[in-house]
Amino acid sequence: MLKYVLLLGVLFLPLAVLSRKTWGAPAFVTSGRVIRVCLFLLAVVLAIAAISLFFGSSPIDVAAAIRWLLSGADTAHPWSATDQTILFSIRLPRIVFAGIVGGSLAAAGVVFQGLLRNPLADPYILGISSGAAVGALCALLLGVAFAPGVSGSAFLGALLTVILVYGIARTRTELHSATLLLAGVIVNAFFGAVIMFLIATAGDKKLHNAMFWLMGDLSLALWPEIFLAGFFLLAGFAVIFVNARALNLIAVSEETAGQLGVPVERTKTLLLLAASLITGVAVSVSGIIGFAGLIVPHLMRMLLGSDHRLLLPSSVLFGGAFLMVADTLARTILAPSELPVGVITALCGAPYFIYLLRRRG
Amino acid sequence: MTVIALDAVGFRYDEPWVLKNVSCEIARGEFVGILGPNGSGKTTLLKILDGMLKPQEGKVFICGVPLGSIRRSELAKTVAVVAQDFRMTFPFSVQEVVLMGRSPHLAKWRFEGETDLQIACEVMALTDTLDLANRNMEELSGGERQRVLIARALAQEPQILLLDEPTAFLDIKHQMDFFDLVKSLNRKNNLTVVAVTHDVNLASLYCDRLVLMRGGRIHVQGRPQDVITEENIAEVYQVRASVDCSPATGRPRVTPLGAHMTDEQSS
Repeated sequence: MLKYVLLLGVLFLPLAVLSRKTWGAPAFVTSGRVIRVCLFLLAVVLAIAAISLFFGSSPIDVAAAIRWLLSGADTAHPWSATDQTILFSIRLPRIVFAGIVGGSLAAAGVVFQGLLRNPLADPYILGISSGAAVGALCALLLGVAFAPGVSGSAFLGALLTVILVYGIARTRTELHSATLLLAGVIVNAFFGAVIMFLIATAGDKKLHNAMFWLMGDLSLALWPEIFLAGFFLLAGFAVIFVNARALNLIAVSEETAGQLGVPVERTKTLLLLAASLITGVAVSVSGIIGFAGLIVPHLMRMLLGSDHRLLLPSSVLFGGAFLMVADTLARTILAPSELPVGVITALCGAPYFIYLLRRRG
Repeated sequence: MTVIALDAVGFRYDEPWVLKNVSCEIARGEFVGILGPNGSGKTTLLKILDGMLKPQEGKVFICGVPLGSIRRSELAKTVAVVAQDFRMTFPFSVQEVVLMGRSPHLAKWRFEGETDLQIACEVMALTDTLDLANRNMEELSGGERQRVLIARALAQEPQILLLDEPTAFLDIKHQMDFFDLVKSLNRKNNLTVVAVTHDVNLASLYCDRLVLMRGGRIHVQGRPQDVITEENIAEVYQVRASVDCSPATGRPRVTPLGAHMTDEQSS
């Protein structure tokens, strides 16, 4: 029990520290502030990763591990071979994986919210995750066993869904928030049916994990998938970060952005591609994890302001920390059985979404 | 010196021309009002000047350079826009919004430097918004928000300021405050101002020159006393109005009398 309190405390207490009001920070973002906030959040991520290592069915001899660390961490002579295997071959990859997937979903959420000027947007709500899942499933059904192939197909699914949802919601001049969310709901329902259909017709063990995967599953963490997702998160992050100031202006209005010299269409296309790619890859390796991309950017915006040069990196880091904690809960609270991590994120996320919806009036 | 020149400009979205054969020259330091009823092409004209719309016919020159050959980020260093107030989705602080005006001067991955902060401070002082720097835009009143948007426009260090019905949602006092501020910038900094407005009397009061539009064409342009006449108002707006010279300002003053045209006036 105490462990859980510690874990949640390390996740949520830093939020009080981060608030702009706590520090009386100036009302604009400097590079120094971005670096300070990111280093702080990085420390939070590392702390949560370290604490999460000690959650699991078999107990770890912590004292022995610390003695081993202090005596120079000689890898040839571990304190306990079993413990070390559990920690570094089973738990560590999964924690890193959760961090990368959480960061990916948060980054995608930041971009979709900013581009669509809608704080309720995220890859899950808009149906983009479902679209990516359809893409990934199609690739699996066609017998693609190669991870990048499945991810590529998921990326196409995500991209087509973005275009579809945007196309449904956009009238000639305006993009209504409510229409956009409705379009997401419809697309989600449709792709949900497509996914069920694909699974039913496949009917063999090729997809036996699919049901679990639909609510998000991080148990299949293997280093190749982890590196794949990490690589695309980094690449996408770089593209988005370079365009973060332009995204600020687009988040005010596309007209304002144009008047202030931003090549609006080009920037939007680039950002949508990057966010779709990140979403597609994350979904292809971890399934559909809802709401992480919604809650995290929203919390960070409340604490740190709307400037995407700070919002993006802080959301990626906190999104990583958030999903690490969610996954640690998912794999341990019903031990020895496991929950899909999406159950945890939806249990926190759906009420939060309702709160946001009501507050906006 | 001419800073804006339009030569036989025509624009259409689909079939009917929204603008047709519009020619006009605006000199540095002028304060020009664009008037006309809804759908007469005023806002379209402004969107052509700020580079958002490309005309299918004719030529536009900004400071002697063809508009089509100016990159958008370059244009934003010369032309700034203050439009109607709207609610922002996300909470940006006043200082953040003013610093956005530095955007065209910065490489896209660069953070704002000392110079940019300095300029932001100066333009906030000019527009009396320094005290608001740390506030969120959504906490401000309509008048305060419009002053912040002028500060943002000034932070672009433009030569031309375009106003698109900027005072549509303000009361009379704030409308006057807004135009007084713009007028003083126009006089002191030799800023060229082009303002689209529905308020004929306000335009008469502040503008050196007026352009009256009707059905996508320039109906008449010239000094306020030559443009604001009973005949022009009747023809363009289809209303009965009496026009006289205000004894207080020496400018023409319009008193609307009713929408119903008499046979004599409509012929």
